[in-house]
Amino acid sequence: MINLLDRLSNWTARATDAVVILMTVVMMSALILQVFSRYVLSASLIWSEELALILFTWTTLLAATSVLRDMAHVRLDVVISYLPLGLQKFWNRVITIVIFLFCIALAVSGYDYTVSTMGQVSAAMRLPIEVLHLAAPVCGGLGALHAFARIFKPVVVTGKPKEFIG
Amino acid sequence: AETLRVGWTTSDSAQDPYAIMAHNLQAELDQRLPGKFDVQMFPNNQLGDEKQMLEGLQYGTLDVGIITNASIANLDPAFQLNDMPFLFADEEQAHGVLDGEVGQEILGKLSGKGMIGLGFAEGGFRHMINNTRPVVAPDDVKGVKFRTMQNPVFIGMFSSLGGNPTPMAWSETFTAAQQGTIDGLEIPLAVIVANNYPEVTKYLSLTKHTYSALGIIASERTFAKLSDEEKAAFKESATAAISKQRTQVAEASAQLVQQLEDAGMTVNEIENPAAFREQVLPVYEEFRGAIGEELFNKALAEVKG
Amino acid sequence: MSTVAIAILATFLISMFGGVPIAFALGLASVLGLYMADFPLVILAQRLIAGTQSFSILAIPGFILAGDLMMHGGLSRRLVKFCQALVQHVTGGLGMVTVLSATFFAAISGSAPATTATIGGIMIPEMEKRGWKRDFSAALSAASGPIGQMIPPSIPMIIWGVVAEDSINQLFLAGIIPGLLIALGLMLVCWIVARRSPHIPRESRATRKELLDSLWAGKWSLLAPVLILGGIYGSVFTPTEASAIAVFYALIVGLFIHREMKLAALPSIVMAAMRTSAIVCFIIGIASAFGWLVAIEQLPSAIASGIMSVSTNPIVILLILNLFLLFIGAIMDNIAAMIILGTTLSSIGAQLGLDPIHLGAMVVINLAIGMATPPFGYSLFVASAISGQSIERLSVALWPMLLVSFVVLMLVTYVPAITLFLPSFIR
Ligand code: NA
Ligand code: NA
Repeated sequence: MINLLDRLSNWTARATDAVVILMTVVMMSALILQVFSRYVLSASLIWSEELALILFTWTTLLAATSVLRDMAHVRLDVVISYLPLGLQKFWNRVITIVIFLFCIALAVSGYDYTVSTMGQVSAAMRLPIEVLHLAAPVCGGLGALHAFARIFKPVVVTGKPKEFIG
Repeated sequence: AETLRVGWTTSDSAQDPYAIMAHNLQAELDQRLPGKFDVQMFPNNQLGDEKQMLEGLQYGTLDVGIITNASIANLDPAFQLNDMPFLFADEEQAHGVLDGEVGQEILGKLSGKGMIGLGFAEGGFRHMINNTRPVVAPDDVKGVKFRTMQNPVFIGMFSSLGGNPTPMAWSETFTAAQQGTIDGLEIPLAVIVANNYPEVTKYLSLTKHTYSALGIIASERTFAKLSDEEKAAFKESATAAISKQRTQVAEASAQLVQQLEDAGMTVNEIENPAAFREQVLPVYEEFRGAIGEELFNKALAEVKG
Repeated sequence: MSTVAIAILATFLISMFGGVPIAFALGLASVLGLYMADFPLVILAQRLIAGTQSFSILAIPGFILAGDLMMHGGLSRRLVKFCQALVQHVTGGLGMVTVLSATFFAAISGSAPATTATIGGIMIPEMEKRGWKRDFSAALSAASGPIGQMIPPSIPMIIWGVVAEDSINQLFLAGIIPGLLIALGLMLVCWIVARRSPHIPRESRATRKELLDSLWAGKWSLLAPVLILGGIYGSVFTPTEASAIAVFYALIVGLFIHREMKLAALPSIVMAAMRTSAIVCFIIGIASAFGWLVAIEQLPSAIASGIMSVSTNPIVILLILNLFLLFIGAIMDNIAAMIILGTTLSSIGAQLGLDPIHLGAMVVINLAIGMATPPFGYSLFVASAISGQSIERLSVALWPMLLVSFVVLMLVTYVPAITLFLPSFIR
């Protein structure tokens, strides 16, 4: 049962990755097309900036969930690295539960947000605003799935360097 | 006293139409409902941009918002009426329509959305500034690259005048004008001054192409906590604050034109507003349906009559 | 300060130091704050979406991806080769190659750890082969990383520009001279160390032909910053568009000119970059919920007036600010720090009459240096990971380099012209 849950989480994360890659290609293309159109065709595109921004929100929130699957979000572990190993494992599980609860809160919040803003349209393309706002509940939901799976099957800590940022 | 959060996007300066409105409202409320509210000001997008402020009004996290009409139009298309190019010939005409039946009908669209429209304050007419030539007749817009908001009404207006509308983020616009990526832009007088545009643009053409209405919107949740008399006093305060604000903005705008001339801009008026309106009729046709046929005709009748 | 404000700050700090990932520590504090202040939970989602709806921040994934593509497409290796031909014969030359390559790479990459990883990955083994100590080379790579954030493009400058509503174009220019000063200082350290170490051999001078060959081989790498910065300051495109153009450029060069990148490898390169970007931008998004609460509780003005009450002497306040920021930079993540402290710092700066661009550059440089100061810094972690040296050993080798950074920081703080000279051309 636990293995099944873990596989579901893993499969979901890899599918999410594929979507993120596709969206990134479209996002970058929209930006390049905008410059091209402005200089070569000497006409500005109305939709490119808005499309790129909507995809930016989606790629960020989706990729954040697959990073969560690998428990690779940056954190300060200096303090807890001084704890004995058994206690560290226990504490990491507590943190995972906290993350799970937060993701549930985000999913609920995102659902409320999407429902309460129905009828709004985007400024340039006049798309229903749900196209953008749905990213929040989807991120919360996927995050909750991964965190839930990680409560039962924590990440095996390896000596490999962590992902780094900034 | 109850906390009353008032939010707007621009700065908290004495010349800013949004800020003037916020402080007028505070003064009127203090007079009519003394000690009732502890008014807190949130200028400069402090609580989010206009989209988020509108949502905040719905959720009750913002009590009063002073919101540009074009942003409210993303919530309900009827508001696009106010942004129709060359619709109003002067301020008096705009005030007449916005304070009358048409304005009430538009503001009423907010009541199903958790908000109460209290009226429209003065944002001042929007004008064109550019580096190519003074805009006197519609033909002068031809081929000139104007930065516009990412808004179909404004983009449509410049397209039908034969211009080259360039939607661009506001934060990029000054540098773009300085370095010639764009030839000009269209903004109210106060914004020209506040952002030092005389340094980078030459011609100020008082085209009055769009009347900028500022929606004064309260949260329904805030109103629900008030008694009937308090509600009435609140509405009166808003009306009084708007009327004072209009006078102050009108005085300021005469000074602003002078100030811009002193700063080295070449200022001109347009010859024949009707010729401009003729050119932008396709925009009217495009948005007539979304705004509502009946409402649109009522407004047109009022500005012609 | 209100109870809500105290509670959210405490929740954030306790959970962050307790090992909760930074984004979730901010999220937890925000949910608690919304609950305590009786605001609807829906604000969380609203602010998360709003925090990522910024055209300026959209430059971050592009610049991260472009840097990664330039590494995989052989652009960074050619850059190093050229720098080698340029300075290898000088005393301490190989160390200088590390710094110089990092400086060139900084004009492509917006990130400190990516700069350390790319240049350190090539140079640490190379330096060891030629008699340099491994801990020194690793420390040098770590200390060169922050140059990546000072010389444009720069991810922290973009974030500060959004938080403080300053011009990103001007902030970019403000970082150039300080970045070059740190590079010069680090090269000086290499020179001194090499003079004192007899086991570091002098390299022979590259011949004229070698130099020209390496220049020719590296032309596409050297053209990249010209394209990016030239495009931005020739106002051909915005920084965000520039990031996409850089991606496009790196793709073309890597796939078709250098032919070192396989099409099949692209999805994993893109995904790795998007994960890095998402980690940064997710923090930005969640922090915007936190920042909203902090603003509505009017916390920034409370903190600012608290600091201003200590002293009104600008020199003293600036010193306090620097020490405070260095401390923050030493122990925590700089993105969260900028978003949380942004409004407070801006209002202190305004009260002191500081030029906002000067203030912004100061904050970013402070926190960039923090990338290499122990115990917490991504450049430090990366250098430790690729060299196999412990953070403790690196810390010992780092001190002369950190001294250089501090001296430059003091210069930046008290001589505004260092940051304001270049931006003055586009005002
Ligand atoms: Na850089
Ligand atoms: Na540090």
